[in-house]
Amino acid sequence: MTSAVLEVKDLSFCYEEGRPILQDLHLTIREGERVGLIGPNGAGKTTLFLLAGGILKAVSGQIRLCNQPVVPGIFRPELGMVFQNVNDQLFCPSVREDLAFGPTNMGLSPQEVERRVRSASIETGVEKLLERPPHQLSGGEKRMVAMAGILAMGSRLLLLDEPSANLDMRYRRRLINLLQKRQDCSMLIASHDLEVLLELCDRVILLAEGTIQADGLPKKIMAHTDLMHQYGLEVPHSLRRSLRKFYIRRG
Amino acid sequence: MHIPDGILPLSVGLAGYGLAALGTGYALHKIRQKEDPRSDVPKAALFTAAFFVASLIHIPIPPTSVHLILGGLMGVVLGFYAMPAIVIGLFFQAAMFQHGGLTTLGINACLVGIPALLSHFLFNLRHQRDWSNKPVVVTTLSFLGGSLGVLLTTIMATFLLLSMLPAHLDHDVARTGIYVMAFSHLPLALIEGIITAMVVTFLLRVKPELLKSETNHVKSDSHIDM
Amino acid sequence: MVGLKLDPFVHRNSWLHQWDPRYKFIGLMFLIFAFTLVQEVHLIPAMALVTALLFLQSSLPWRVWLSRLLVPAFFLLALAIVLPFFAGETVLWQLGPLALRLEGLLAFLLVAGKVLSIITIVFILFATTPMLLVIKAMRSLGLPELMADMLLFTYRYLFQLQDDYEGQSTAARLRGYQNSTSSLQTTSFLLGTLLVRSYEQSERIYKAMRLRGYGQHAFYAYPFSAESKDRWIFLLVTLVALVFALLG
Repeated sequence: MTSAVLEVKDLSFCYEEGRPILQDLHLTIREGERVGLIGPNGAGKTTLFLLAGGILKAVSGQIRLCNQPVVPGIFRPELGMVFQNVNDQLFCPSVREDLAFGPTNMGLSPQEVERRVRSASIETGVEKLLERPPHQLSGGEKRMVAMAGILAMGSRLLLLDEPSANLDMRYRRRLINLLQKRQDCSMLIASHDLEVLLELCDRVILLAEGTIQADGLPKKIMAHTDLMHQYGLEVPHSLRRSLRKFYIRRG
Repeated sequence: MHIPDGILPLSVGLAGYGLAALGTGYALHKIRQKEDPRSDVPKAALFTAAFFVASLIHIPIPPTSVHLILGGLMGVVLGFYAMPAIVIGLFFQAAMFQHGGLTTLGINACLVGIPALLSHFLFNLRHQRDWSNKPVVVTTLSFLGGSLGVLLTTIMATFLLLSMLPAHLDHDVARTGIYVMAFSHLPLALIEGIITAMVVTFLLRVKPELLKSETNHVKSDSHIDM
Repeated sequence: MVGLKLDPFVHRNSWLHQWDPRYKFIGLMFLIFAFTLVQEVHLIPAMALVTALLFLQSSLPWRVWLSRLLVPAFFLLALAIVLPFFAGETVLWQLGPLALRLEGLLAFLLVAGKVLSIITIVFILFATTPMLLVIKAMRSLGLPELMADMLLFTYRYLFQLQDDYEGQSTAARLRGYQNSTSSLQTTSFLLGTLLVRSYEQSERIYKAMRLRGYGQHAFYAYPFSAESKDRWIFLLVTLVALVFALLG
């Protein structure tokens, strides 16, 4: 059995004096696993990400990243996160500086930083944009640059918040291919684009009302009409069609 | 460095209001002269909001932390609009977290706004003799604008505060007060100078049209037809 | 920006909440300006009484009021050290080199009383009136429309830009940014990015607003309808202010 990259135990969280966002959450992500995270808006998906990244402080419970406890405020390059709003992510005057930001903060040598910038930019196909200011890029290009900035850190766990939002079909495909090739990374992907999760993930978690309601194979969970409807989600089209075929064949 | 309500005499407060109204009135007058005066409203407002947010940033200097004033940067970016922007920012600071005050709004606006306008003129010196292409000059001017902004604000505020202290206060204490105030703001002046220079360099690389003088701003807008 | 939003309290039901915003704004402004005029220490109890009465009537939570005192408290603390111990001749009490002096103590009590009273009244004003109404009231009291527009937009986008900045700095922290004097460059990039984003957004907002009829002046046609009760309260508060201004 491969070792765990992320281990979450008894995790609870609430914003000041508000209703609990997460309650006694348990979750383990193993090396190389690609996990989809689904759930209605406000289910706590982004909160979970921020907790894992040490940005928020849990009310109770433990989070371990690569067998080391996550301490809020301590930089952990093993974890890379791509935000839902890419504009939050890109703030350097040029793409090159933005890609170098994480590796530089890791204390790597300039040569190593440069090597990582180059390989991450080639991997994401943004090598021609290196000298451009990120603000001028298209939405798809920005998303790729944001991905490259995370890949350049060599993170072992990627947390992706709605990675395919606002992407056209071409960039969406590029993103899926890019993530599929990354066999060495574990991923937790929060998305309402269930088709993307079906293609990418070997496991899906349904988060709602502060806890995990279901955890298992994507095709099994997402085809469960009652479960999906109960939490305001819909069975993805591709699964509906296969179900229909299944019924027609049987009928 | 905002003076709270209740410690300055009314006359000083009212004089501050008068001066600030003059500065704001001049900026409004300039806006109204434009072809479509309203086009500048969202821009000025968004910058004002951005500067308000920026002024909440605390930079830790152990054992304490300083919060940015950014008057110099406002002068550089906003020019004459800095005055209304500062008035609005201070109004919300007073209204929402009792930072500064309503009776001292005018005087506080002057304390930040006058140095901001000076920074604006200082930064515009770059247009002399084609200096604007020289990064060293631009960096130096914006650094000076940022740090002098803080220094001037501090000096003016210190003298104002001392003038309101009772006459029978020991002079030694007064002098110590001046020194402590001035020295405790030196790191902030340095930091604001550096940040102003770096933000200006950033903007020149990324979005240079943002730093053009306000007349150019309108021209670049006039192509928006609906 | 914790504690920035006062809106949770603006929908309570005291007469201070119901008071016509225009009269409330001028009335309370009169009062705080009158308070700044006070130079007599023996007026401090009266001032505190008026303030306390208003605060009790406002039915605002005192915990929130307390949290508002944090910023001015530092300033008052500095004065509390300087004035009573260094200013004045009449020594009230002495411990070694430390001497508590009467004149300094009185000067401090005067300043502290004024600062606390005015802060409380400003707090009452903004905690019992939605910001939108304050701005509309100022507009109908003669604030230029351009200025009122700017106030409204600034207020509208404050919270969003705050979120934007938080998002940016969170993303940067996940890639190793730490807010300190050694990373001023990154802080500057974040600030610069905030300005660029604001600039670009303002262009979009303006277009969207034009498409929905911005500039028709109708926005400020809020039907403020003062009843005689509003005017009576206003008269009373103004009288109180006048008394303080004359006696002070």
